[in-house]
Amino acid sequence: MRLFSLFHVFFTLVCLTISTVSLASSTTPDALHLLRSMTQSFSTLSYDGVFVHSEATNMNSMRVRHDLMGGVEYESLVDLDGDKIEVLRIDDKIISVYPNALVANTRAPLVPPFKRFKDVESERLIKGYDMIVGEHTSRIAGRNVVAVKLVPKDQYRYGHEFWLDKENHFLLKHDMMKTDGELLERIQFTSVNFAPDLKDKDFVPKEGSYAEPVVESQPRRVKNLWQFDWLPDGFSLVWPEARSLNHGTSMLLLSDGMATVSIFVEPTMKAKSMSIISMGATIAGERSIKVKDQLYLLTMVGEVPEPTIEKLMAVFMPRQE
Amino acid sequence: MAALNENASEMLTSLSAMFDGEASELDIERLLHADSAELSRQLEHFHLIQQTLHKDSTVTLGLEDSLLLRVRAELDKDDELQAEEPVISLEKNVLPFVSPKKASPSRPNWRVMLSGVAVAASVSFVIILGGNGLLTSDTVHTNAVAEVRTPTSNMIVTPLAELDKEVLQADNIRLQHYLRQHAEQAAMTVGQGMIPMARVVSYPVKE
Repeated sequence: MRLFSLFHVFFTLVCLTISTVSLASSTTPDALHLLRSMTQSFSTLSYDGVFVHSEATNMNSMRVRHDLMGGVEYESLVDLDGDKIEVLRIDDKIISVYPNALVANTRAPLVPPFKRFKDVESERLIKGYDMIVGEHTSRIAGRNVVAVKLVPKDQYRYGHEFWLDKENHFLLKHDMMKTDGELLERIQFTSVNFAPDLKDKDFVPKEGSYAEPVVESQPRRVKNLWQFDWLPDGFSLVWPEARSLNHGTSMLLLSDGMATVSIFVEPTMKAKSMSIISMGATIAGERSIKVKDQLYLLTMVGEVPEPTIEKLMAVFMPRQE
Repeated sequence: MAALNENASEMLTSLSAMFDGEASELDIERLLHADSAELSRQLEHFHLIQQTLHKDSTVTLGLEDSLLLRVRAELDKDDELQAEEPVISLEKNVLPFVSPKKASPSRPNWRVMLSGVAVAASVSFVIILGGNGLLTSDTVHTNAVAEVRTPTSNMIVTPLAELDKEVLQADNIRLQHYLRQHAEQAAMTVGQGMIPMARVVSYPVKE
């Protein structure tokens, strides 16, 4: 009897080990495949849906539409509650209408490397996250979904869970969580139509929502004069060069394939100690740095934990040639 | 003489419009053709008022040196860029709105550049109004400053004691700009369509 019990325990342990190993080895490729498919679905599918974006005490409903007409991509995002934003994208041209600013910002045609990514950065993702595909199917917005979980491998990034349409892998729900599991931000569709009857007039800014269009200057690629002495695993610069904004500001972009951190550097005359501002999942940090006799204001914005922004700001420095 | 005064007055009006980020193409042309020495003098004068009122303040116009040179350099740079960069024509495929009718090669960059100094200008503008009564000994300059902008009934004049708050507001406007830039770039990077742009709604806005 005792022999049988020992054998039973041993057999159970072997089974558990085998199942864990097979789970770990098979879920990452499956998850990457699903994430890749999700990314492509945003460009290839036609859709008209309403989703709720919630973080902390804020909740907002938004309508998103996308279609391909004459080989050109049309996409729009409209705030349904506060009327604070309307974003249109036609091909790679983005029109952002901010009613409080009374202008419609029309970005000039974007050229590589600023074009939208249509694939997943699998190598970066693997370095930063363990990926698990859920075994069970549930329903969101009336459609069957499969869950993909990204568990951070360190404390420098948040966790993510995606619920994708089982048929076309469109993203129907996305949770962003702290490492302790606390929910930071949720996006969830309440309805979506994958056969919408959209016309080009659906992608025109609402009349009276802006005073005049303003074309922002063409983003220019300039030599990157800055570097990080340290980066969390998986994070790297998205653009090899910096992007020159107006007024002498340089912008860099870091990503681990899921989280992004934008870096803005501009000359300043005012010394500023480090300060951190938290807005839901978004953290912004500011401080001045001195290089020789010149002060620079460094601003970092990203959906990463506060210590990540603090640490990145501490290791930012002029590039060593 | 009257014509000279009129020209000076127009130049100051254009300068004021530029500081407020409301400069028209005519204003820009006027400033470009204005007498550099006179323009520099006015800018120095603004700076002097600022320094007089706020010796310890870190608020600076940042425009006092060779504005016109910078403006012209910027224009030249824009022209070069326009010549170098291929223009992607979408006219056949997209709506008329996407190709703004008013867009001329240099105008959009100008507007952005000028709207950029509007943040600093809002601070400097407060200084000018507040300083008007304090610099009575220099009547010529006082009059000149008064011509920069005539207060209207609905204009909010921020007390000098609240200047620090104005500086903070300027910081906030800059941060708002960065947050939007970040949201737009994140939307282009993480493969979730425009959905990351939803965060912009919860970002602070200029009140």
